[in-house]
Amino acid sequence: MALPKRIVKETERLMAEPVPGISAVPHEDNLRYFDVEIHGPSSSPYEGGVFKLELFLPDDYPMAPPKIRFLTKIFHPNVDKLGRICLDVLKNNWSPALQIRTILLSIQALLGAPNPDDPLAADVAKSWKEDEQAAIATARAWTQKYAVPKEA
Amino acid sequence: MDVSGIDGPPSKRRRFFADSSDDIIDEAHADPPVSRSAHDADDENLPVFSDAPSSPFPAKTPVASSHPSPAPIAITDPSPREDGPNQAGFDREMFQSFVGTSVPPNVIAVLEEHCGSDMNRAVNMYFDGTWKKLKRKPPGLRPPAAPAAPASSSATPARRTANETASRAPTSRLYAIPESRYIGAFGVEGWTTRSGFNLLKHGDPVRIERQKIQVPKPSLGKPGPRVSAAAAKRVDVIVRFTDLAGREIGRLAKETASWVSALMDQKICKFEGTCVYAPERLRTNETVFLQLRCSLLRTAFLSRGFQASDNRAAGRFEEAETSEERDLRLRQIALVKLFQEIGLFPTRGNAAAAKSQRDRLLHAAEMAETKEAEKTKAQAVDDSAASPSSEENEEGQELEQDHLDALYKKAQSFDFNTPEAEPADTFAFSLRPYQKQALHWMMAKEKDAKDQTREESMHPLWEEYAWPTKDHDDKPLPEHPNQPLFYVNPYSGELSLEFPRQEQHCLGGILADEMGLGKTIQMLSLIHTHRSGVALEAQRAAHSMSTVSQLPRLPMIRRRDGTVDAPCTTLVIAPMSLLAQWQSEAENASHEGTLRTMVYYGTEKNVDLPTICCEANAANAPDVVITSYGVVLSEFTQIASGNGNRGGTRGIFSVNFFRVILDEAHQIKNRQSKTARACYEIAARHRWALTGTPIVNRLEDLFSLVRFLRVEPWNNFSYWRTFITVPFESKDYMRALDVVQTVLEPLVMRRTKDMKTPDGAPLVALPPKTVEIVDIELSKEERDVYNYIFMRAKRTFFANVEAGTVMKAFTSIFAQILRLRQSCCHPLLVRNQEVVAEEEEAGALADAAAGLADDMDLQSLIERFAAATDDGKDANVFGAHVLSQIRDEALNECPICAEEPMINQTVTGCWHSACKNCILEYIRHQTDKHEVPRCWQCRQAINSRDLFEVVRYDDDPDAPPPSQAPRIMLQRIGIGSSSAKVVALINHLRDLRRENPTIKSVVFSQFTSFLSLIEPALDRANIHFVRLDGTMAQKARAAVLDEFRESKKFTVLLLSLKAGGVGLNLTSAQRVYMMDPWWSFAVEAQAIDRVHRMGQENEVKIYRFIVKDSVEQRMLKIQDRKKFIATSLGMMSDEEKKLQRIEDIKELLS
Repeated sequence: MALPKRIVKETERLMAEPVPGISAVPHEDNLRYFDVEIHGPSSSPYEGGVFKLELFLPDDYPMAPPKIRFLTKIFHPNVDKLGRICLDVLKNNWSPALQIRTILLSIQALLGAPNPDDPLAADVAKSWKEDEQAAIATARAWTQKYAVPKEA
Repeated sequence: MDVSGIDGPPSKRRRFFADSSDDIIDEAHADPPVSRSAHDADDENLPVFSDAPSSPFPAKTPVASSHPSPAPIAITDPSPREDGPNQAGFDREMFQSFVGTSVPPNVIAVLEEHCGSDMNRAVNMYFDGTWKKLKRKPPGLRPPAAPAAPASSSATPARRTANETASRAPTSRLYAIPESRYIGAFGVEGWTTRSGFNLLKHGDPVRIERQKIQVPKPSLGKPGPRVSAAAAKRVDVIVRFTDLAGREIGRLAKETASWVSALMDQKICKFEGTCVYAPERLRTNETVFLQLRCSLLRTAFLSRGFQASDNRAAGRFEEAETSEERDLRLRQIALVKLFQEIGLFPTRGNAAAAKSQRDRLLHAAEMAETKEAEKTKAQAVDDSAASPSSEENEEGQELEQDHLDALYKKAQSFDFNTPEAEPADTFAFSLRPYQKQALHWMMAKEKDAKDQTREESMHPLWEEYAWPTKDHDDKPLPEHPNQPLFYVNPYSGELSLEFPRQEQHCLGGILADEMGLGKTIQMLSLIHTHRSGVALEAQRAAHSMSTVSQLPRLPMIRRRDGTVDAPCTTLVIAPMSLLAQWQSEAENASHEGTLRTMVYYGTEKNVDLPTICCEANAANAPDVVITSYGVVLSEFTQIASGNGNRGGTRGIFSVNFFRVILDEAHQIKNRQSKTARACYEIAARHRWALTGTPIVNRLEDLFSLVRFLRVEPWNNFSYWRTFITVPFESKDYMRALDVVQTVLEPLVMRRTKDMKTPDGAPLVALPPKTVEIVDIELSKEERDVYNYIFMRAKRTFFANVEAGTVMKAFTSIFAQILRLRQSCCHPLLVRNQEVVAEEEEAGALADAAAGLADDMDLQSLIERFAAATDDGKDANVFGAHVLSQIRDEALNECPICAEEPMINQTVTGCWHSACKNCILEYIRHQTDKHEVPRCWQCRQAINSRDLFEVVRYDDDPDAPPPSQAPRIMLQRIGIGSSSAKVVALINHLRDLRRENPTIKSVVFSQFTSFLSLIEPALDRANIHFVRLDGTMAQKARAAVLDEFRESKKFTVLLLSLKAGGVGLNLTSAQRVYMMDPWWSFAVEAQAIDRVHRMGQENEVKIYRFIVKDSVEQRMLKIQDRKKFIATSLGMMSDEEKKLQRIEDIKELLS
């Protein structure tokens, strides 16, 4: 199936005008499959980390939202062990007017503002609620451990 | 022809005789008498009659006095022998008592004259009705009519011809032979019908008589057998022999009787029998041997002429072969058999006379016979069926398409090196090269032969025989000086005493160019360029300002057959509707004053053609007389019913034209039709047939043209049958087609539109055309209706297939398929009953439609569609601000598909825009997931009824000038969008109008009610349209076409496929929209050709709207499969068509 015009356009724009702190590069053999990197927002426990995600545009995109998941281990109440993300715009609040770019921005924002009231990883959310400082520390530690690129 | 000029007026009296002699020649061979003088051997015989001392016209000078004929065997020769003594011996009283009823004296007189004392003969004649014919005996045969003779010889031609009988114009030479002349003897078997002693012994003479079973014969003292009509048919070949007293002794064996009877019935031969062996004591059904002496009767040499239609009423059983043809056939077989029996062989014949040929002849004739028999049988079985139309009754196997192709391919091998001829300077048009080539060819055809003195050779179909000089007993026979020979045409059974000359070439032909190559123009150029000498003379005279009176005053001269030469006039016969077109084209093609045309039709028929067209009037004679087939037919019928007297009329048949042209000549393809027969009889020197389809579907179609052209020998049906029909029907296609090819080649010129000149250029450059299939997606509501009907049709069909009742249920199945096709166009069509009338199966369909209409499920589906489309008022009350915002937004990218600008911008109730399809797809997507569709921008719930398409009037010519922002309007989706197809059409048209605001288009549909549904949509889009369908009167149609042609703005013509398929010229349009597919593409192609034909100057684009995943798509496949198959050509029987259709339907529903 030919790539819909919309996907072509989005990809071109992601290349031409990249969003600061975010990159998304399609696979050469599957233009619906993107390798994504999101930089942890500053003044958040994820600052300094570079998080890898995979993003896939299903056949009924943009009627249906893209499928997206963290590949890098992250300590976050809205991301589960498998990297799945709890975000309304990726679920019920998806709209075909949203784009890859806007979704990635939303995820970046989610890193800056975890929402333990709508948890996906129950244990993480629990620790977050019980002892926020400890949780942030753990998050920071995980970031250091998994997300900070090793010096070559 | 010229002879009459030579004879001149003073020879009038003489001509009476010369004419009647020529009559025969002319009717038999259409040979110019001029050349006749070249053959002494034959001409020696000619004057015989005129010198006969007892001739009723002693005063007249012999035509060729240099050949005094010594033989006093003329006219009166037979008469005294028979009439003389008889007159005394006829006993009227005895005759009356035999007959029983009172017989009018004039009848008795006739019988007396012919039978003399032979009472038997008289009684027989009276009862079998032969006396009626005798009564018509030409006056010349009557005993001394001398006193009346001068009067009759100077009488008007009308009177003269009236005196001759229609078909039996006596030939001079006939006077010179005895009533009968011995040609041979043969032995036959007979069987007796009575018993007794010494009834018959060796050497006894017996009479050979024909049994006329219908009439009881009291003279024979035998109770008339009661016989049914069927029996009469069965036994009507019985030939019996009687002793001299007239007692029946027995009958001839059936084998012999079958042909002997024909020879006797047709007055060709006379048989005298002698008993060779008979047992002394005869019992019934005993075999006896007879020897029959056969003499040819004088009547055998009479020609048959203007009686073509006399036998039309012969009845159904003979319709396939006219009774005339049947007679010919019987006569032909009988003669061939006779000659075989008596061992008479031609002294001179052609290669064709080889023995094998003769066998083939018999074979052919017999085949026709068995076929007749089969037909009769079949018809008897099928007796209750309505009388078949003449169309169905045409005989001859239909041509398979590939044969037809092969034939045409051969006929189309047009040689591009043919020289060209320039038209005369009076011709106002310029011709294309290929037309000049045709002109050259036609001129060559017309001028052929006549100028060259051709060697005298015998006609290829005839055989020459020597009269025997000794009889079977070696006794010398009476000699008839100057008559050693006679001639037989074994193909037609014709006999002649004249030397049958090899015919001249046909001085005409068939111009069979495909439609649109300008056949009319080419013919007109010929009319201008090849004129007769007389016409040129007159033209010159006119030029030199001489007045008519200075021309020699020639009296009107009638030719031998009663026609008057019209040396300047070409007769054009065309379908009535084309008369005006012919006239205007003829005038347009001529410089002013160089061509006089006249339409001979209706009230304008009230002219005297012989007078205005004759040579004497050459200076003012019309150059072209245009008439219709109907006129020809009616004049022909008139003449035929008035005993075939051409001279007495003032119409077409009283004139011998310089040239006759049959336009649309396939109109005479059925040689049995009266029209065809009428056309055959038109007298003209040059004969042309114009047709795009010389063969419609039978080889016999071609025969009719050949017969019209009088192409020897192929205009002889027996010959045609022998060499073409029979091989063809015995599957010897190649031979038959080869022969046809040799027939066609010299006669036909045919070019097709797709021919290319050697340098690759098309013969006629038409602008390109492209055909594009536009896929249509049905809306959900439409799809529901469609699916419902589809499932239902499928169920019905396969249930019937299982039950084996498909043929029975054909109409109802077909009706359902029709519904299905309609639902692709517009669901409302399905419940529209009017539409029914458009298919043939109207009656049955009405029921089916009622069935559908009563169906509640379907009804609700349709209503749902209707609700979705004709929702109440258009809530078009928006603030200008909102509108302008929306308008500006239109140029943006669609948020959903990223198209830029949006396609059919549509806004939600919350004023957010996207492409229409994106919105609809999104809503569907959400609904399928059982989620409420929300606006992609503001997440408000979207009410699918509150969607508005933004309609821009930028394509509308009535809209404000472009300096202002284009007007827009919001249109609730559903309203005005009608069915998917209509929407697609409107979108196409509007795009087109944007690009090209003056272009014209034609929209075809086979459903006129669909056209009615398209109309409001066109109205809404402010598109100007006109409409033409089958319900309109001719005048209204013409008005519509005029309006369409003259219109200077963007115009659409709505045209029903059936009304618009033929004839129309719509070259002012450049776009064609086919709204629905027909079963065969040929029909659609023909419709397309209305636009893409000669005269079209621009590229033509054709759009075929086809609903995706529907029967329509499958119909396309069916079309592909049989693009060139029969149905479109009308070559299948109804039953076959149905079977084919059922196959199609199976494919549609699978």
